[in-house]
Order: sequence, then C-alpha cells, then structure tokens
Amino acid sequence: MSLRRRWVVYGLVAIVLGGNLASLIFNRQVWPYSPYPMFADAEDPHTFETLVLVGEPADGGEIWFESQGYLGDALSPMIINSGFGGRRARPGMTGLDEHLRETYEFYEGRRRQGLSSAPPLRRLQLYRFSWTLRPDLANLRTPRRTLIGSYPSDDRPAQ
Amino acid sequence: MKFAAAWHRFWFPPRRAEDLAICRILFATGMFLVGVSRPIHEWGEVPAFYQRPAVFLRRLDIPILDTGVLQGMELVWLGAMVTLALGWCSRTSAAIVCLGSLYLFGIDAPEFLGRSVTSGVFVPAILAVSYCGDVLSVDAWRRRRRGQVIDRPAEEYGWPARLVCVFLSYVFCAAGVAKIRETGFPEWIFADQTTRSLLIGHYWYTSRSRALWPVGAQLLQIYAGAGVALAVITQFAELLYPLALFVRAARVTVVPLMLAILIGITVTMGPFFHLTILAHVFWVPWSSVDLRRRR
Repeated sequence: MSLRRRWVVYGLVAIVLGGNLASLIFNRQVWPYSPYPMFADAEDPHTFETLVLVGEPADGGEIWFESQGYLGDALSPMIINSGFGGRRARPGMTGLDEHLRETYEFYEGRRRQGLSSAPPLRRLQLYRFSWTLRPDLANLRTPRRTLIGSYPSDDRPAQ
Repeated sequence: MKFAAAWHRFWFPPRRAEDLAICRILFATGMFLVGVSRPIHEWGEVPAFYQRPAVFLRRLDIPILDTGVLQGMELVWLGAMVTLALGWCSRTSAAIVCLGSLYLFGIDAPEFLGRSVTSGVFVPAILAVSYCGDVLSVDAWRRRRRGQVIDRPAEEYGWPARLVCVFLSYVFCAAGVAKIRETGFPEWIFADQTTRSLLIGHYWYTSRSRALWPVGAQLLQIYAGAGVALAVITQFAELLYPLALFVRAARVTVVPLMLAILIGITVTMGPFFHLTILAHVFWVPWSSVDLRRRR
C-alpha cells in the first residue's frame, strides 16, 4: 500500500474514532458520535413513570396512544413523552394547551386523509402514568394516573 | 521499529477481497431492510415541538425538509443501499448511504434514540473509502468486460473490517465505561437496573418498541436475582469486548456473547440494535468459512 493511501486510511480512523473518543471524554452525545450511555443511569428499580396521550373517542371509551400509528411512526410513545417535557411536565405549564391542540389537529388531519384508522376523538388528554413494577405484570393496564392537560380543556367537544 | 511494524500489522491485516465484498453485500442488504421499515419522511409533517434533530443540524441551521422532499431523499438513500449491495458504483453508493444516514437518521431524534443506527453512518463511510466493490460486484463484471485487471495488496481488503471491529469495540467498551461513570462499579450491577429494564419493556416503551416476549419477567419470577446475574454478564462482556481484537479466545466467546445479549435485549426489553448487530458481519473471515466447508 502506498504511503498516501495509508494516510487516507489513518485520516478515516481519526474521524471515526477521534470524534467518538472526544464524545466519551466530554460525556456528550453529538450525532453520530456517542458515549453510548445505554441503561447507565441508576433509577428507582421499583417504579416507572411516563407521559401518555389518551384519547376519548366520540363513541365512548378511551384509547392509549401506543404504536397503533395514529400519529404516524415518527411519533413513538417515547417521543411523545419527550415532546411534552417528560418529568418536567406540570398541569398549566406554558405551551401545554397549544401542544395538545397541535397534536389533536395533526391526529385529525391524518385521520381525515385516511393515513390512519383512528377513531374521531371528542377529547385528547395528557396523563402521567406511574406503575409499581411487578414481575407478574399484573398491573400493566392499571397505572396510577395524573391528568396533566386536556384539549379542549372545558367540557365542549373538540371541533 | 517493532511498534511501527505491529501498528501496521494491526491496522492492515491481509484479507481476501471476497471477505470485504461479502460484508458489503450483507451489511447493505440488512441496512436496506432497516431503512424500508422506518418512514423517516414523516418527520416533515409532525408538529415542530416534537422534533429533535441532531445538534449539528440545529447549529448549521439545516432544516427538516418537507415530507415530499424527504421521501425523495429516502428513495435515493435506499436506492444507494441496493446499488451498494450489488456493487454498482460501490464507493459512490456507499458515500451516498453515509451522507443520507447522517441527515435522515440525524432528523430522527438521534441524540435521543439514535445509538442503534450510528453504524449506519460509520460503516458506509468506511466502505466509501475502501475498495469494497473489487469482486462479487457489477463494478467487477464491467471491468472484466473492459479487460481491466485489478491487482491490489491484500491489506486493502483487511483494514475496513479491522476499523469496523475497532468501532464496535469502542461502542461496547464505552457503554461499559458509561455505566461505571454514571452509577459506579460494582454499584451499577447491584442497582437492579437490569431487573428494572427487564420489566419496563412490558409496561411501556423505553425505545421505539416494547419487549417481544415476557421471558425476562418470567425469569424474575423464577429467580429474583436473575437481573443481577445478567448485569454481571453484560458489564463484563462490554468491558472485555475490545480484547476480541487481539485474543482469539475472546473473539470466539465475547463477540457471540455480546450478540446474544443484543438479541436478548430486543426480546426482553424492546430496544433493537439492528445495525450494530449487522455490523458484526465484519468479524467473520468469510473466505475461511467457505474453505473449511469445502474441505
């Protein structure tokens, strides 16, 4: 191999590994470099909480926004949790009503275009779900729920 | 001088061109399947407050484009994976895949959910600099028709696989180090984090998908200490993974163990490290496998 070619390869090594090592040293994730902190944080091993969008269909009942694709594949439940602020989310926080309205309109837009098989909703709500983790998984569908916000916020059905 | 020679031997091991070509075919085909299953163009229409593009896109003011434009980019990106697998304009195809991944995965909440797809940027970048299309490719067929003969040193086909394996070693070793840095050693092992992860995947989403099968929860019902046992195996496999670069015994034990852990995580917790799993094809000396079979 020529010397020039070898230096091209070393340059690539520097780009691939150098950026990643810097990411590790500074403990910062800058795509596509990462210190890969998967599962590294120690959190309370007995509980789990997350924000969940819950829809009230016009014909009654409720639906939890999981991976049905009602909001498309991009908006996975984790993105929804992050989008509404995760642990920082509080009832009445700035922008909450606006974000719920935008989400509702996005949901309705997809539904009307036939992009999802979602039912029409009379209300969209954001809850904090909290579970005590049990190995028998007996409480999967019965989390403790705290209402964070709702669209529309009064009893009037959504338009 | 000895160090210089050892350094050169490490980075430029002689390999057959077929080894690299088979890795190219397998990685590009697998990545195509991952890309097809992930409609990234949807980010073009979601409410803006959900968007989490990469830091470098925000700093450089590179916007998330409209859905139609993103769909076009996706088509070119997926097409380049097909041409890379076929070995048609191999290096250009690899470069397009790399740049496409950098942007498209870059708008797909990468600093939040993108650790499983970093191989989708780095492996194509390595292939773009390598001569991965010298054999088993449309490029090779066209050159043969023109009567061109390629004669490159065997080191040219060894360094790409070596660099991918070093990258994978970094990924796992960094993950092991992060656990020590964030929680401590052996505190992380005894903090019941693995137990928690084995259960959460059934309750809700800690990644794009949920646990496939409640085997983790069942294991915990049989033996409550299963989480700690799995944590010990995981952390040691991560920290010892780089040994596979130097010691054959580690290569045949730690690498398959790590693969099993990644598959186990998908089944019991949900996160699917598809491209990281796929990049493991670069560990295999494919032509030797073939020779053994012929004997």
